[in-house]
Amino acid sequence: MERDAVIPAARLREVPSRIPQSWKRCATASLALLLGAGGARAQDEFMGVRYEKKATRAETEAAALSGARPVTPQWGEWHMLAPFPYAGHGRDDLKTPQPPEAELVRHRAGGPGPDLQAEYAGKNGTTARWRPLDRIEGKVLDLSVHGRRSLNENAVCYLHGSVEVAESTILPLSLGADDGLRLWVNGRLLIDDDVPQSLDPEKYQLKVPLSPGVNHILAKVANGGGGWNFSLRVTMHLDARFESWLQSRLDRDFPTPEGRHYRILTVPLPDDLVLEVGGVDLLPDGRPIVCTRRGELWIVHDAYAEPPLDARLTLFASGLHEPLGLVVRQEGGRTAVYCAQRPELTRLLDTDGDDRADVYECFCDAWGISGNYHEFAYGPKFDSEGNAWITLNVGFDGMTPLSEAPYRGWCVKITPAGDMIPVCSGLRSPNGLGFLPDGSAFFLDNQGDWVGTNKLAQLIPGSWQGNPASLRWREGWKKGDPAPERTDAAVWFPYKKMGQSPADFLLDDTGGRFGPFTGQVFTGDMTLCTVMRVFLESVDGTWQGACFPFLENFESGPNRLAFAADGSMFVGMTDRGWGSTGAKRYGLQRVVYTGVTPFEVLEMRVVPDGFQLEFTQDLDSAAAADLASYRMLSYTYAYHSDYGSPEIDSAEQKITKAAVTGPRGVHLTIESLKPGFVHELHLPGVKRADGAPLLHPVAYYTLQKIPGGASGR
Amino acid sequence: MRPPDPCRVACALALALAWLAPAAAAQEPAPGWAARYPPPAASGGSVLERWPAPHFALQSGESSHPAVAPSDLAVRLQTRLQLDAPGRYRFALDVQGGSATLSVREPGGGAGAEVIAPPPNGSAGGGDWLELKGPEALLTLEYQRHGNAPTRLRVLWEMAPGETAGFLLEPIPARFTRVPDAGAGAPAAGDAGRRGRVLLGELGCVNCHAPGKNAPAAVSARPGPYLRDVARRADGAWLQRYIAGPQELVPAAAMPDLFGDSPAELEDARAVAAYLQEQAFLGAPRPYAAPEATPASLVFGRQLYHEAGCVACHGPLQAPAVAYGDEALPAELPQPAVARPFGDLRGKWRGGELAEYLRNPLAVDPSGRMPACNLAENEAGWIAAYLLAQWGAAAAPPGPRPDRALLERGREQFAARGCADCHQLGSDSAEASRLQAPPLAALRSGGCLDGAPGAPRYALSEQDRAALRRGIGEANAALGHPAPPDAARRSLAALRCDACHARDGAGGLDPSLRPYFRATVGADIGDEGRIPPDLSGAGFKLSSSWLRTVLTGSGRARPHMAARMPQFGAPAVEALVAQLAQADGTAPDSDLEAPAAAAELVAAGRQLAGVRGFDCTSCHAFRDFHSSGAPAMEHFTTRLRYEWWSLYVHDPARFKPGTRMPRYFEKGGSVLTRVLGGDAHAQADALWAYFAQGESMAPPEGAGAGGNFLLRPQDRPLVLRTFLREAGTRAVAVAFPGGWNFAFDAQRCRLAYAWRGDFLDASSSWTNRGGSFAQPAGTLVWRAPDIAYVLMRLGGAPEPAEAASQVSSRRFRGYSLDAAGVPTFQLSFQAYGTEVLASERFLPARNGFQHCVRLEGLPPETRVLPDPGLPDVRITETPDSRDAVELLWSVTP
Repeated sequence: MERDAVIPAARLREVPSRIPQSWKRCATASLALLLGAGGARAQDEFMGVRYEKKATRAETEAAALSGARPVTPQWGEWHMLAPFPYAGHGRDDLKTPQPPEAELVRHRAGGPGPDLQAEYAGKNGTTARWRPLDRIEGKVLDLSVHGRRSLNENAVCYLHGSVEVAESTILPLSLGADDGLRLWVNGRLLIDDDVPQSLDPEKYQLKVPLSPGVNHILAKVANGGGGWNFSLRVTMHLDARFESWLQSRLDRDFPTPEGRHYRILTVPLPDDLVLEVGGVDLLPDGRPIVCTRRGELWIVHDAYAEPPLDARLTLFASGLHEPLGLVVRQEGGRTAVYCAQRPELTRLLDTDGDDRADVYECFCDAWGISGNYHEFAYGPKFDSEGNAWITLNVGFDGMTPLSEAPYRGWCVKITPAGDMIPVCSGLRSPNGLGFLPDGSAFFLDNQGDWVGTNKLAQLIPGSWQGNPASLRWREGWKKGDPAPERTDAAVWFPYKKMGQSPADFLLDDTGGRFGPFTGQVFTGDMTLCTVMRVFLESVDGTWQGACFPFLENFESGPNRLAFAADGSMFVGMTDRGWGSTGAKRYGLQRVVYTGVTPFEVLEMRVVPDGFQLEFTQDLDSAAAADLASYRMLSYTYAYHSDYGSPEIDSAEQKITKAAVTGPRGVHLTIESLKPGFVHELHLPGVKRADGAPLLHPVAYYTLQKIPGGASGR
Repeated sequence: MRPPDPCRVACALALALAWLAPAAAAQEPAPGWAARYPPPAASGGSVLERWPAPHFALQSGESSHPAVAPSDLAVRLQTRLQLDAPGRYRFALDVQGGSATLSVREPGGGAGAEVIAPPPNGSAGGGDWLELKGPEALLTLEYQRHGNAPTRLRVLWEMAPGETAGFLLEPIPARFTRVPDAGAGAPAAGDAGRRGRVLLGELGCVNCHAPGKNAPAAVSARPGPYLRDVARRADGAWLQRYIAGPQELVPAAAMPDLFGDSPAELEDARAVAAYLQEQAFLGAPRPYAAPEATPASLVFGRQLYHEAGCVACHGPLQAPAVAYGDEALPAELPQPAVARPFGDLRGKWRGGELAEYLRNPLAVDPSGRMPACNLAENEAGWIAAYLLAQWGAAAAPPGPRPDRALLERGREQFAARGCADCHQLGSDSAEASRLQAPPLAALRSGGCLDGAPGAPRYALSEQDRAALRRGIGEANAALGHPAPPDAARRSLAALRCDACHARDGAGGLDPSLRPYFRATVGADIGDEGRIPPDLSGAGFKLSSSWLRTVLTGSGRARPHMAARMPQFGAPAVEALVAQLAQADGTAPDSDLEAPAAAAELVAAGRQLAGVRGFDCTSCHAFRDFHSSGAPAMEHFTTRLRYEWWSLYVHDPARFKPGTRMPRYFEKGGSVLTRVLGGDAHAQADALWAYFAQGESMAPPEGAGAGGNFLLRPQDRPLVLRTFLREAGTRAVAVAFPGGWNFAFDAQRCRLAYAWRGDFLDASSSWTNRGGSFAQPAGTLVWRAPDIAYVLMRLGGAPEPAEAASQVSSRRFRGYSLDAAGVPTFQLSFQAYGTEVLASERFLPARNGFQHCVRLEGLPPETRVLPDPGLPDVRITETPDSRDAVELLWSVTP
């Protein structure tokens, strides 16, 4: 009686409203029990929805979702029309209609939509034309598509897309924009909000009535200055466990090239748990513990199943002020949890063993906090001597960095006695720090004023990292004094190519359980929802190295990374306040190495006449020795108070020789290495012995020092 | 572009005449009451007029009619009251400064009763319940003012709450009344008299025919537009044609035809045109910037012209289907009887000048008869571009300057023909008129009114002439005492408010124009979101300050309505603020006393307004949280009068037929039974108390992000570290179930204050980039002293330096939670060279809270000195330890 074993699809839509509460309270309730249908959870069936592999991932997903959702909207192509002028914030100019609005009548339900061949007079004498976009639902769209800043700022654009439904329905949408937004559905204006803002993908919640057939969506997005983004998501409710289950099935059957080597599994969260991860670590028994930007600490139980459908979370502590780091320590037989929250470093203890903290000890509150929104505290990370290192963000007034209170823009360390020692100054927005096995400390800074692009740099005691706001707290320094010598970036992350908001520093100390990258460093990117890989080497005492793409497609912005004892990586995510390309705003995922070695550039070391490459697998030596298999560019960044820097002084680097130095080694001779420059290496022709291409045929080496030779500045 | 169709001009002419004629006699008797002032109140015998409702409020020296003496004002009013349903009714009189009786009689000789108002200071004197069968009852009201005292009259009724159609005691709305058949003609004549007096002002009659000193109380003069720049706006040929025969070009022109057809007369007209043209040469030169007529601007201009409200006076120029490019709309051009059809305007306007004029017409015509419609610069340009394209030809550039002789003749004629009686060149000019017209009091027959040869010619219908004659009689009989209800009705007519707004069963938007009135920005509250509101009882409904804001400050309660409330300029409308209130029986800026905003009441109101209550924000805007476009909650109590609202909320559709506002109360009960015992009146007051918090009101549950972040302790206390107002950047906020909340300042290591009610809204930390200051959501009830205690030597004198160092050495150590989740704060400080540890907790207690402090490690020979401001401190030496002590004080705010 297979029929009896199947829960009708309609049942699924009722379930979510009933499950979460019971789920929270009832630790042992299994899904089968809740559904009252013992044995319903067959291998490829979950919550009454049958999974059936079809020809493509999209087809398979659509088939599964059609069983889970009342309607399946069919999205048409999206187009963008830009640029048109915008007078800027506070001028009420978003409502000034531009020519496409004269045709809104074409946007009626069932109407033809805009004339995509039409051309209009655009801003500054340009011609505005409709240009096609990739699928945009569930993503964050970057609208700064023009080469000239003057066309990307004080400008408006239009986005048009169509959506088709079979019958009348209400489509719940969640939208966000940076900056102002007007939105029409079928020619009817539903949002009119002319404000400067950063992207919040959940700012606008709409329930949009759709008519059978084609419906038109037209968005008008303004940009005053800075970023120019738009996001649109369908927010039809799906049970988180169903999503996790479906994702794991789709990843199994249709893995991405990366997915053959690393699987991403999602911890399903109850609907009302906002897990905006600020820190992740592992308890001695292997359970992850997570702190959130809402100040809660959650212990995750049963997190290791693949997928972890029975995972549940229990509250360990609450009420902290935006903790952005968490470390579990064993201290004299008891477990202590250290958390840096905005005002202090706190040690949490569970003295009665009920999995809930009852002591919130102020371990150190010696740094200042003026009340600026941007005064975050990241950390701690403990060095081998037991000092807790913390990096302190500067405040901001608009685009101006502020260090209103002591040690904003510094790295500090807290001794085991709770005393604070300032380490070094000049940090901007340092969301991540850590140590190499030799004790060298590093931090990651975010692009902005005085930071041309995101970077990794060494935290040398007494050093200055380049942002002047924090100099006022440096001993003996007076306003007007010349700036001290600044520490160079060990690794630059070329903007957008290698992320937009690097977060956390995780040393691979898994001894190979996470793949071939032991000793290297992983960092998340909160905007592009990736994890990147960094190789570091010390050249005559200067740390420098290369960064590589590693893994993409996280469901939100990775903010904190931690290895579990089994060598899998927990990735805690949030994108609140800045936005990410991910479909979710927060969450926890786990990356599991499949054991299939990825073919990658393992190491890129500088040698006096070029670079020595080491690969993870044996090479096709003919291809590796062919100069046509490589291409190298170099560029650097301006050091100035403007926000970020373009790549400057770009040039092709001439590779004169590619010598195979072993089954996995290649020596590239470069005509003239340029200290102070990023050396961007493309390896399109390099093949594995069996002919397979590189998983990521690109590397970005930041050259500060040539062995035995010149340095960058 | 095509020129206007001659047929359309003729048609427009006919329509203009239709406006000048009284409204077509309706089949249905007019709503309202027949009012008769007994002789000898007015010199011309008894005055009869129609009143929409027997409501007024008058100050000393004011009357209800300009020809009726204010002292001992007496009036007899009759109406046929329309009953929706048979049942038990009760009538009451609200009389001050006078006395009144009301009799209620059923035509069939059924129920009947006399209601007598109580003596002085009595407000609503009520009668007994009457069983009325309907469908009609005849009401007769006799009112007598006591001398010249401020006075007020309202007639109220109520239907028993048990009845299906029951309603609360309310002023009788006009729509339930009909002017009695007997004497129906006479009140209509009264209406005609008022219309005549409006025409006397609008046509400029009183500008030439000097009114008597008392007439201004009955007639409002209207100056004509300034003419200095008229030749910048129009070309010479158009100007000349217009002066020679205004109504031939613009059928509804108020300007009379002053010139005959002889060559000499036409030359005079040409001379006046030349004189005016010369003025344009005299001013500082300005460029004639024309708005750009791009295809898009023509589309925007077309839409804006049709939706901003222009069509109510000028008529649509395109069918809705064309105006909005939407085939679903009617494809026929409606031909409503509008007041100001454009006529032939080819050559009247230069584009740039038209755009500027549309932006601020009051600069040219301060009378406000062409109001400003709050157009932005680019919007005015679009409309100008669109209109010019409709008319085909813009004004030609100015020609050569005319010769001196012609100019001199023009100047002479401008004075001689009386142009200067209506028109000045600008606000700073004083052109003299040499026209000697007989004074208003001397007008009998002949002249303009009868189209006498040589007299200025107006386009007047027979009804107009009759109305004017009657109006002249009334103006001459005016006693010089202001009559606010009469003035309100004249202003509404003169400014043509009734072109958009209905009031008391008259006026309102022509039905054929309704497709042009629409909502923008997703507003969806039906007609209320698109059609200008009915003004019946507006003076009773709206606060005077809000009326002032709407009339003179561009205030809008429904910003999503595409039609814009025009601005007529303060001189034209500021008196209306008081007049509308007085016409509706309320004194300006007065209201019943609203319920005091007690915390409990506010909290209950907030609960009622939330998503689990009446869910007000599902339609009403709240701050930035836009719902369906209904007026913003935080402005209710500044816009509305409490007296009106407290009736309205019980039965919204009774006050606004067709409203989408649901009815939550019935028969004194509420659909929400769990708040305030389900008592409708208590709930209404709670809502008002909550709304009265205005901009600072805490968001109702479910209103956007803010609503979801209000934290509530459940079974355990909540502890939250946050930036907190007046407790600093290292604050710890604590909430106990039951409504006690505390702010601990971990920077200064002290309890900072306590508050009652809601805890706080965490959106300051939990939304966007966070990091803003939270504020207590409830009411602050106690502020702690700076430092609650210090240690001092036994028997010694106070040592300020030591005390200061005890304070400055305070360090926060954290807090622990007991099994119930109650935090104990730990801190330390240095006293006399010793580190003292303090543990502090605060706990709700009976009628207040307790603050308990335990100090350990006291230096020898010291004692605790509490702040003298602390109430009732108890200090306990801890017996088992000589160096520990406990303090406790109970606070009852």
